[in-house]
Order: sequence, then C-alpha cells, then structure tokens
Amino acid sequence: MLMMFPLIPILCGIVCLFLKGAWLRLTLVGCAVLHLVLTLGALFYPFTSPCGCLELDSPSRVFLPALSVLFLLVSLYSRDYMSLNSREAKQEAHYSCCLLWMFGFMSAAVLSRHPGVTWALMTGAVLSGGPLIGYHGTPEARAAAWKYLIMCLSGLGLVLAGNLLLTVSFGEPGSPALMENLLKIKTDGELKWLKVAYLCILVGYGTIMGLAPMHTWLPDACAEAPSPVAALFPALMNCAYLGILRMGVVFGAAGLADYRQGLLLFFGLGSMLFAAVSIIGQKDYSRMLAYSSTCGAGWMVLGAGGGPIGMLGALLYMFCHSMIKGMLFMLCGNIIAVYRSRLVAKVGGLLQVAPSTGVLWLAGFIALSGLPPFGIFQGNIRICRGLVESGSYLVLGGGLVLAAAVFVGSLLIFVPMAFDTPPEGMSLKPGNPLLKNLLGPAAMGGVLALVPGVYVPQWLEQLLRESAAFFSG
Amino acid sequence: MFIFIVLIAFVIACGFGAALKTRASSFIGALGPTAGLAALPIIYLVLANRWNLILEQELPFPFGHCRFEFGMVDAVFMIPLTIVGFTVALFGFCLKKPEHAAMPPQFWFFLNIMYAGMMTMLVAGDTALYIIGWEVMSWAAFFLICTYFRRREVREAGIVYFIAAHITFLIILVSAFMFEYEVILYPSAIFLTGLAGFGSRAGLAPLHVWLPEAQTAAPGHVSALLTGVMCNMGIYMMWRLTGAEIAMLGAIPLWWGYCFLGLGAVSALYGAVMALRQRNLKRLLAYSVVENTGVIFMGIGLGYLAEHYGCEHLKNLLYLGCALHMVNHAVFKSLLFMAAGVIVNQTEVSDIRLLAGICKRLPFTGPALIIGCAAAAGLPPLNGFIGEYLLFGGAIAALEQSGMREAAMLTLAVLGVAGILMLVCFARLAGIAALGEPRCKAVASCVQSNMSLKYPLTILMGLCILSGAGLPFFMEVPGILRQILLGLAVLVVLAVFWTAVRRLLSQKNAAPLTSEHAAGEKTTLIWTTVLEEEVGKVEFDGGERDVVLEYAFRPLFRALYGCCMKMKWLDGGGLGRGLVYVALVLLILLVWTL
Repeated sequence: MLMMFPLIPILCGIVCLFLKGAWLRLTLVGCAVLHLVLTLGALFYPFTSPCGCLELDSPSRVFLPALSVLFLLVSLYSRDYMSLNSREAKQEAHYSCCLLWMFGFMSAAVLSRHPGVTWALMTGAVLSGGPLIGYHGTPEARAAAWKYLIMCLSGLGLVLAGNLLLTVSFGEPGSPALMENLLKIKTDGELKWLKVAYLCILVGYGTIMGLAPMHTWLPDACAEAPSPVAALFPALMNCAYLGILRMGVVFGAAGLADYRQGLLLFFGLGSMLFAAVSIIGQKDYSRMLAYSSTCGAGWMVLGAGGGPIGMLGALLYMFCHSMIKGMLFMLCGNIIAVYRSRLVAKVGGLLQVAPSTGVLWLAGFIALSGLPPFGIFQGNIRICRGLVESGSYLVLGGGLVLAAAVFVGSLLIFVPMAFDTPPEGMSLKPGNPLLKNLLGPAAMGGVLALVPGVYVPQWLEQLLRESAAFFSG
Repeated sequence: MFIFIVLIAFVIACGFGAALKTRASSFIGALGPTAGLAALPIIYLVLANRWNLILEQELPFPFGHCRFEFGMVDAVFMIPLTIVGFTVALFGFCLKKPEHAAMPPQFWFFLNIMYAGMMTMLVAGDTALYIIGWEVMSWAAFFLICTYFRRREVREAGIVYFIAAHITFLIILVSAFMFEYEVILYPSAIFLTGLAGFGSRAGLAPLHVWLPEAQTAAPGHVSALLTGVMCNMGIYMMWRLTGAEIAMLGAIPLWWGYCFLGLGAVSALYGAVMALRQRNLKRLLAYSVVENTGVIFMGIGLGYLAEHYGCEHLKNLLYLGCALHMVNHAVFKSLLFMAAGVIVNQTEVSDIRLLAGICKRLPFTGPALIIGCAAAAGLPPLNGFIGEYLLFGGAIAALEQSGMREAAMLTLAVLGVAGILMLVCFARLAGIAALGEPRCKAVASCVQSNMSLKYPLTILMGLCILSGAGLPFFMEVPGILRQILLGLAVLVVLAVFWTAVRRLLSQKNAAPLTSEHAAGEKTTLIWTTVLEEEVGKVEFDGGERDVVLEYAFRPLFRALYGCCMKMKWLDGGGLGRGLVYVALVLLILLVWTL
C-alpha cells in the first residue's frame, strides 16, 4: 500500500505526457486529491509495504500530510495559473509530468528509511525540479535552473559521500543499512570519520534545504520559477530537512549529539544572518520571500538543535511555514500578473488595486513574522524555549536580534507594497476574473497556517511529540 | 472568570462578523466593546470584596495548561479598558460623517481583535498568555494606526510604531524566558528587559519614540484607545512584574525604585517641555501622555522606596495615587483625543495656531476640549487633579521619612515643574484653540456635520467631572487631613495662576480678532494668509520632530541599514560563487572538526 504514494503521482505523470488542456490540469488535481485521501488514511491505518525500504513511522506521518496538502493547493493553483500563462500544450504536459514526478519522489523520500534510497529519491526529486524552474524558457530562467541543478546535485554528491563513509565503515557487513541497523553503530569506533560523514550529509541536504551559505541557488530559482513551482519548494525543503533529522538520529545515537547540536546551531544562526542581511533593502519581493525561506530553514535547524521542545516547535514551524510560504509565493504570481514586475518599487497599493490579494499579503506577513495567533508563533516560541532549556542562551539572543532584523526588512517591503499609492496608470478596475480563482488555494494555505496556532487535535499532538522525541534521540 | 473567557470569545466573533463587510458591520463591530461593559460589575465585586479569581484550565495543544487570574490590580486596569473601549467603539459607530472619515470594516475587525488581546492579557496568569495577548494587541494596533493608510505620513508613523513594537516584543520575550526558566540569578536583568519593553509601550522617555508619531497619525479615537488603554498595559505589565503584593519578581532592590523615579522624572520633564513646543494638536496631546506616564512611574518608584523603608501607609497612598491617576488620565486623555479627532475631521486643520473659535463652530467639541484641558492641567474639581494631588501629598509626607527625603524632594520638584508646564500648555491650548473667533477659513466655514458624536464625548466629560468631584466623597484617605489643607492652598495658587494665564492668552488672541472685526473680511483674509505662510515655513521646525527619534534612533537604524547594504555583495553572484561558498564552508568545518 505504501508504494501507492510514489507510484500514483509517477504514473499520473506519465499519463500527463499524453494529455492536454483541461484534462491535463484535472489529472494534476485528481492525483493530488487521491494522494491526500491516501495520506489521511495513512494517518490512522498502519500501511505497510512489500519493499522494506519504505516505512510509515511517526515522523513520516507528520511530514507526509504537509507535503500532500501543499501539493493539493499547488495543483489547484496551477490549474488556473496555467490557463493564464499558457505556453505550448506540449510544454505544459512536460511541466505537469515533472511536477508530479517531483511530488512522487518527494513522497517516497519522506517514507524511506534507508539512507541510500532516500538519497536516490531526493536526486530524482531534484532532477525533476530542473525543467520546472526553466519552464518560462527565458535565459534567466535557464540560468537559474542550471544553477539549481548543479548546486543541488553537488550537495547530493556530498550526501552520497557521507552515506558511503557511514555505511561502508560502520554498517555491519551483510545487513541492509536501514535506520534501525545504523542505530546500533558502536560508539567505541573512530568518531572522526563519523563526524566527517555527518558534516557531508548536513552540508549536502542543507544545500537543498536552503541553509546559508549554500542557499545561493534558492533566490534565483524562486524568482524565475513559475509561481506554483516556487510554492512547492518549501516541500522540497522539508524533505531535505527530514533527511537531516533522520541522519541526525543515527549520529546522535553514535555519541555525536553535541557535535550535531553545535553544527545545527551554527547553520541556523548563519542562515538567519544571511537572510537578515539580504532581506533588508531587498528590491525584488520574490527574492525576499526566498531569503525568508532561508531564515525559516535557519529557525527549523535551530529548533532541531534545541532538544525535544525545540524539535516540537520546529515541526510546528515546518508545517505552518510551508503553508504560509506556499501561499505567499502563490500571491506573488497574482501580483506579477497584475503589475508585471517583480520589483518592490513598482508595486504599490495592493489594497486598492487587488484588495483580496493585498489583505492576504498582509496576513501572510503577520503569519510569517511569527505573530500570534498564527502557528509560526507557537513554533517559534517552542524553538526559543528549547534553546533556553538546552542552555544555548547566546544562540537564542543572536537569533532574536536577527529575527528583529528580518522583521524590519520584511516590514519595509510588505507594508509599502500593500499600503502605498498605486503607480500611475494602474487601473483600479477588477482585473481578470481568473485571478480571483487563484486566491482560493492561497487563502486555504493561510487558514491552514492559522489553525495549528489555535487548535491541534490530541492525536496530532501525540504524533508531533512522538516524532520530536524520536528526532531528539 | 468564565464570563471573561466568554467575553473574549464574543469580542473575537464580533471582529470576524464585522470583517464580513455587510451593512451592519459597524453595528456588529461596536457590539464587542459594548459587551465588554458587562465586566464592570465583576470589577466592582472584585474591588469591593478583594477577590482574587483563579482558574486553571487545560486547553488543547498549542496552549496547554493555562492559568487565568483576575485580582484587584487587573480589575483596576480593566476599568479604562471597558470604559475607553466602549466610548471608542461608540465614537467609531457615530462617526458616519464626514464620509471620508467613516470607519471601514477592517477598523472594526482590528478594534475587536485588539480589545480581545488586551482583555486576554488582563485575565492572564501565566507568561504564555501574557505574551499572546500582548502581541495580538500590538499588531492589531498597527492596523488601527494605519486606518487612513492612504496618507504617506500615516504609513510612516505606522512603520515606526511596528518596528518599535516588534523589537520591544522580542525584548519582552527574553524577559519572559528569563522569568519562566528561573534564570532568576539575575532578577535585575528581567527587570531591565521588562522595563525596556513595557516602558517603551507605556511611553517612558527615551523609548517613547513611537508614541508621538503613532498618536499623531492615528484617527482621534484610535489615539484615545492607544493612550487610554494600550499605554496603560505597559504600566500594568511593569506593575505585575514588580508591583507590591502581586510582584512576580519578589522583593524589590532599592535601585529599581530609583530607576523608576529617574526615568519617570526624565519622561515627565521631557514630555512637558516637548508638549509646550508643539503646534500640532494631537502631537501636543501625545507628549502630554509621555508626561503623565512619567508622573505615574515616579509615583510607583517613590512607592517602592516607601515599601523599602517600611512605610506601609505612605506606600498605599502613593500606589492609590498612581492607580487613580492612571484611570483618570485614560479618561481625560481619551476625551481630548476624541475632541481633537472631531476637530481634525471637521476642519482638516491640526495646527493649533489656526484653530480658534472651536467653541463657536463645533458645539460639544469645544466644551469637551476645554474640560479635557482643564482636567489635563490638573485643575480641581476635575479628575486630573485627584491623582496628582495624592502623589503630591505622598511626596510631601515622604519628606519626613529618613532616607527618602532627597527622592521626595526630586519628585516634588519635578511634579511641580511638570505640572506648571502642563498647566501653561493646556491653558494655551484651550485659550488658543477653543476660545475666541475663528481665524482661518477652514474653521470659520465648518459646521458640525455629525451631532451624534456628542454621546461619547458627553460620557467622557461626565466621567471627568464625576470621578474628579465625586471620588473624594467615596474614598477614605485616612491621616492626610493636613495635606488636604496644604493641597487647598496649592489649589488656590494654581487657580490664580490659571486665571492669569488664561486672561493673558485671551488678550493676546483678542488683539488680532478685534482688528479683524474692525477691518472686516479683508483683514481676515490677510491674517489667514500670513498665518498660513508662516505655518508653511515652519512646518519642519524642530518642535515637530522628536529629538530622541531624530538624533538617536533614526541615525542608528540608518547606520545599520548602511551596514546591510554594504554587505550586499554576499548576496548574488553566479553559480561559481555559490559552489565556492559550499566548498569553503565544508573546508572550514572539516578543519574545525578534525
């Protein structure tokens, strides 16, 4: 049954190559709905799989819904986006196929419990992302796609190196290198090589996750990719994050917990620093969102370095951040459709020109800045608590200072975009009715980011706590 | 206790109901704060019976275990919330004309959300709830300030406010974590971070910078809400943190008291001096908020000293004075801000030199302005007098305490100077703006287009008079009879001073006005143009801008911005640079590891 999660999207992707127009878009949505139904089933029934590499444990029960829900929103958005920005039918078919493949590989990577298999699946996901970024076909888009491919693949190369170091030197010969076997690694061995292995894996997955200073592909990709694709990137980020966390468990069990924590805090603070410096005075709002993803990745990694409570916060943060970032990138698509510009200076008076977009844009800002009652606030608070409890006071202090800087930077972008007077010659009449349809999935993302900040059902809380305990070893 | 939770839920529901943009949205929106009046009987019961209501509740996950607490102090601070909140809602509801000033649905949404946030804070009993309430209040206030967001200066003020609010929020967060995890090795660190965070919100100089900007930019009744309730929330949190009996931090070191005293003195003097310099009506009022916050903090500081030296009676007197002044200040300052709001809406003029003859043109608004001014100047029998009087009395009594003499003398001196400055300032305001004949076309031609606004103004005016004149009859302040005599003497002096200043000012005003009458309309025109030219010239005069903001915070933020811009080279670059970054970080970490 578990094999259905990757197989359905991948098969649908192949089918898509032979479809066009409305059918194509319908397949995308249908596949997403089917996947979500299966995911909801997986939350309550212990699905198994004949292949031993896939397993449904509590962390995958947390990450899979985040992925599936985000993809459903993206596919709904993509339906109208594609009818607005249609290119040749064939290219659209390729786009849908790649999107579904990326989705399929990601859902398998979430379920995988074999580091090598995870690596292979992530490679698949990254590779299918390349054509998506280059979809618009402009030279900049192609350059961004290549940059993304080369950087992420070299990151994956590092992951492979780390995996090899780990499994060849320390796995027991003859047993498959599944997680539970790796957990039995003897700690009396040479820790040095293990450390190098972990470093390689962290830097490698960190590249895909958008941790600074390996994040340089992310702003280009987010700016050039079509909005639905940019909205799906948080999901890719989450997969890489899951990879970091799963491997972190192995190394934590091998006695590297302190080393792991030090590295995580280092990358967390570093990402926030890069994000703060880049967001302040940023001229391009989609790049600003990309840098804010880097900041978000920083928070998540900080949470992972902050014990069980921090981890719990990071998981909440992960879910809400991907929803809200998905929503903001979708809104970006709307704004670009109305203003035909990615520059902050050219966009003004969203509240007058496109009121609903403006309201959602501001709500997204409030949510993204970690203000209550949105879920990111609850996540952030728990991450901070985790840092306090693990005694990393200075890291917390630095994190808060950088958070303030990021807040000020994004405030100076979000608020003028919504409040300023519209540029001259901008028509205040309601635009294309299709733009209204695009708002639906975006607003849903906003609501989904709000709900965990107000109410989390008990079974979900249990699940979150279990996975947090699992990850923090 | 449950009634508060139900109220909070109801207010939030009203907010969402109002956001639906129906025709009834202003009605639904006003319903929330009106329902808040239901808290008044509970406040009375709590105060009369010295109750301390506690509720421990297990809520679903993101909240977890929550503790609600509603005691005497919370009740005292709930009074301005209910009263001012209600009048603000009533004002907004009545404000249908002029059309451009009417309140949009989102105003009602944010008003209710902010109200709910503040109420949550008042009934909260653990740090998590405090933080949530505080921050909801803060961001909702940003959108309220930006109600007229189409104006450039409003947006800029909003941004200044939001930056200040968020930075102080993060400081408060640090304070809360230190408190929660009992890093109480250094209670003073908690105190200082709390003071920075909450003091800034209360308007304590030199962290008051958001206050004049925001209060000037916001619509009148929003300024009333910010002053009457939100600023007090800063004082409330400070009091919860350190105040007697309910102190979260335990015993208070002496220097905290001096800290309050010093900062309070600075704020009181700074606020008073800056208020005197202002020409913009709302800005003047905003600086007077800074002054009043300073006075209250001085009272609290002196109270700490009294507690330290074991003068129970004196401490109670001072705290009573602070509480009274806080509540009364909320009432009269709201009245003033609302009156200012009406004036600015009707005449589009906010320069007090151009405003004259408000009494003649805007019935109800003019008298409201005068009564508000008189209360703010601390004149009996209005309510501004009573709190300051108790503080004076306390300070005089403290003169006789060994160890407190210097502090008491400082307090007396500052209270006296600031009081006189405020007296002059408000006499000037009332004399110039409210009395006399209209002086510019905008005022001369304006008519009160919306008579229903008299209801909120009347409520507040009534409260100003009643709680000033009535309170001494209800209160027993034992053992201060001799101070009453002293106070009466002070009163007479002040009254004489007041008449003198007023006569002086009205004479000054009268000169151009009489000539105006003599020479007819032509002179009016000339006078108007001269004044307008003058105003145009001095628009960016130093008095308009806040010294601390312009010379400390703005340059600081500019410098930080410059640093960020200089580091922009980090960002960007092609594929090569990206790979170099990856390689470098890997290499450095490898070297560090091995």
